[in-house]
Amino acid sequence: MIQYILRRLVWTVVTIAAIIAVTFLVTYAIPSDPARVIAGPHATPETLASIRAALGLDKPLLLRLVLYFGQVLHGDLGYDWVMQQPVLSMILQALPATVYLAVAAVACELLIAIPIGVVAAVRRNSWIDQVTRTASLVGVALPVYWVGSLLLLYLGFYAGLFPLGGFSAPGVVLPALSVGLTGAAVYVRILRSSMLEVMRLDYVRTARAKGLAERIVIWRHIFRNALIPVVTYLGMDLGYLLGGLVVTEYVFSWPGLGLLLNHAIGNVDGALIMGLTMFSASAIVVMNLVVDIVYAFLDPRISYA
Amino acid sequence: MRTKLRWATTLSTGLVALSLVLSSCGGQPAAKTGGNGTTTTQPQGGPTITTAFTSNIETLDPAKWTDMTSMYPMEMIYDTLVTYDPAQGSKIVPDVATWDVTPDGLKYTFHIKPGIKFSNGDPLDAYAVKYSLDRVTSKSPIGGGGAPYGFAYSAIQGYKEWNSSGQKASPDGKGGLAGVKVIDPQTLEIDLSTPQAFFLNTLALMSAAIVDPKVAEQYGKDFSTHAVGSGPFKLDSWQQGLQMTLVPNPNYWGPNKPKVAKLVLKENVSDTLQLLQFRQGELDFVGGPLTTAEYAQVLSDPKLKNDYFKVGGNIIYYLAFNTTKPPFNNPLVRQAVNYAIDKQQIIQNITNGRGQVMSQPLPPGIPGYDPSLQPYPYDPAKAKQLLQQAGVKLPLKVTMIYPSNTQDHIRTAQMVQQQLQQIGIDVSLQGISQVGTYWPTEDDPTKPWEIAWTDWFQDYPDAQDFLYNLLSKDAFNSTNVGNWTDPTFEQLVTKADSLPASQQEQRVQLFQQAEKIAHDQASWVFLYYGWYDALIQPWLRPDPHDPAGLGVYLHPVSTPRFNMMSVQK
Repeated sequence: MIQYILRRLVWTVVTIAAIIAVTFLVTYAIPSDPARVIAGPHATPETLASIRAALGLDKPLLLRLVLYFGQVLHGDLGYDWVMQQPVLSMILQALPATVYLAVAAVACELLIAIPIGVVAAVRRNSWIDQVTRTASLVGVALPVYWVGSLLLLYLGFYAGLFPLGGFSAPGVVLPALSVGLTGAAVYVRILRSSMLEVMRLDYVRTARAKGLAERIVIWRHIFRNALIPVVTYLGMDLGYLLGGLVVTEYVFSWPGLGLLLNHAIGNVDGALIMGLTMFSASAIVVMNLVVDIVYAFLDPRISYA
Repeated sequence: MRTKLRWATTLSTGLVALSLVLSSCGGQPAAKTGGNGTTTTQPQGGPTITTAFTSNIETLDPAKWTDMTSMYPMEMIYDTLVTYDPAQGSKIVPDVATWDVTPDGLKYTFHIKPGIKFSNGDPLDAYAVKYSLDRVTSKSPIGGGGAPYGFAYSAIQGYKEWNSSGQKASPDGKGGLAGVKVIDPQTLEIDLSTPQAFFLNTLALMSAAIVDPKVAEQYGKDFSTHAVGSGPFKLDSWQQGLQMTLVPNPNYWGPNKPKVAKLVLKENVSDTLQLLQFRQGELDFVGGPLTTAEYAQVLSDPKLKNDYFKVGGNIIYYLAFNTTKPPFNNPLVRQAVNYAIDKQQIIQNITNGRGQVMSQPLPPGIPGYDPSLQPYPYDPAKAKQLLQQAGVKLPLKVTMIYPSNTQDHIRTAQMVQQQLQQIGIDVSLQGISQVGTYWPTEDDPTKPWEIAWTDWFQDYPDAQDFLYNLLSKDAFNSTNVGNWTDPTFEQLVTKADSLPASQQEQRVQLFQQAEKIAHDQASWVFLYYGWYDALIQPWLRPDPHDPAGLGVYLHPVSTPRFNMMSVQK
């Protein structure tokens, strides 16, 4: 087990390094001039040249990549080009808002998805199943900004139940709900098919044969064992959400990583884009690792030898 | 200054359009607002003005300043030596100092009004002014290459030496710009190496804001978050990227003391949310320019219509030609394109009528604008004839770049494409991302394009900011995106710029001659003049139907002076 975790850790580091390299090369392949971003449209060529020198942009690209790796190893993500603040502290400042929203969003997704998924599987091919299957298809297809705008307009503006965007405790409800409504659909589909698979297994028949109450059969024997693909997806989903709910945060002016990334892309702020991409990629990679380890607890049959 | 148009507005335009459709079939908003949309919460000591921006407030440090958003709080926190007359936007009047100038325009003597203090009680004197100017023209210590607007003071004697020395400004008045001398604590002398008619305009820019030397020295690079000035408000708190709160400066010396308890500036609030929040009374002021979708919503909502104001701004929208290669190095072809584009249709369809057809580079509000020059009329037949005369083989294939981050830009580009199609010019559109305040592809000296959609709004209301910055050789490959040039034009503009301000009449004549050349040579496709607009809650003004009685002074670069707003609450 420990050997497995170590092996995975090494690969995690390698993956993140590869992501850094690719992001770095792509970011600097964009035909933009950071010196201009900093100095504005009036800047003289001398000003531009001295900013380039100060940022090390006059050095060859590969050398800059090596230097950047060195920086990252020292926990230094550099300074953002526009505000000239440390990128790491900007990320750390925006992180709590995103974590708060991501956790609330996942909670919303699960609260919506679990009852629907279970009922759809248990009452397979009934009208409930048909309706929820169609609804989840629609849910997957709905763009989150559209759902978000509707919620803002009706629950926020007309009904006055929730704040119109911005960061606050009640303010998390609408963005979390819009991610929940669109994201739950995936969980419903995964949970339903996974439950249907488990239902066919022998031990379920045994459990029923023993005369266990249907409720216990469903929740203790089927549901728990059907959770593995859900947990896998949850890990990826959480990693993805932590990487920044770019559209959701924009729609609700939620001051997290997604809004920061919106801003960074708008300004082609390379240092900030690099930092954020690295962070979100790492979040996904690390969450995958966590999921793999959590498997062991959910299903002792999975071997790590 | 390029207008700072908003990233992701394509997305938000869609959202606005959506909410427009929905709101037109919906009812009225729930509680929280009174009939006139005023907020019901009032903090102690008077009301709060709340406004919001789609972007970050980037800085409060004059030595780092480049953007429009930051001007909102900076105008309120700082004073400058001179400023603009509230009644006549483009006239320079004393702020903290009166001045004398020698007839040759080379020596300015500023008499600083006595008893002015920074918000922390430190005195504002000639040393502080010199320090502020030295700091913004120094290459060190802010950023890699000094202040972005440091170049604006290059006419001051000793600018080059000081800038290239790389030394830091000193609060004791020693060193620094040789041409800026402290005579006594209330008197400052500025010597120019050459007369510069618009020099006082540069002293009204936020880059010349007067900072407290003690605080600036104490915080160095971090001065932005600890900014101290002598303006009507002072910085109370700032959660960067979220919101900034300003409160009245207890030491403010000026006649227009703030009538509110707080000024709250919210950052990163999307256009859609701003409109909803304004309708609900959470926002008291929404600055423009509003997008077409937003403006459509204004027109369809009686409350918004009542709160809408056109607030000037001198913005120009134009197409620059790549004049470094055929076919647009030929004036006949450039004229043909001018005749082929129906500007009125663009104004109607893209801006909902918020524009005026453009006849020349200068907007009507700037001295030097020549009212006798007429816009190129829409005349496709004449355009075809000119193309034939120029010997252009049709169909002509060209590439046009435009910033594709707003629906309005995309639609403008498509309209130009359709209209040029009529005269046999096939335009392939290339949308590019806008980076902050400029478009990277514009500056590319290789210019892989023939036409570029672009815009400009004034840094200050002087012809120099348009004619020199946008059409001179010095601005090649930067703000003169298409590298258009004409030797006579260049001579006229250079001469006008080097005259002292006292010879304004002669300057205007020179500019008008230059304007005629740009017009006749069709330096650009002159599209339209635009303006800023704003939504203002009724309680911030005495009479909602009388813009002149607004009590809201809008600076020539269109930031509101919140301390001058009348408050009826």
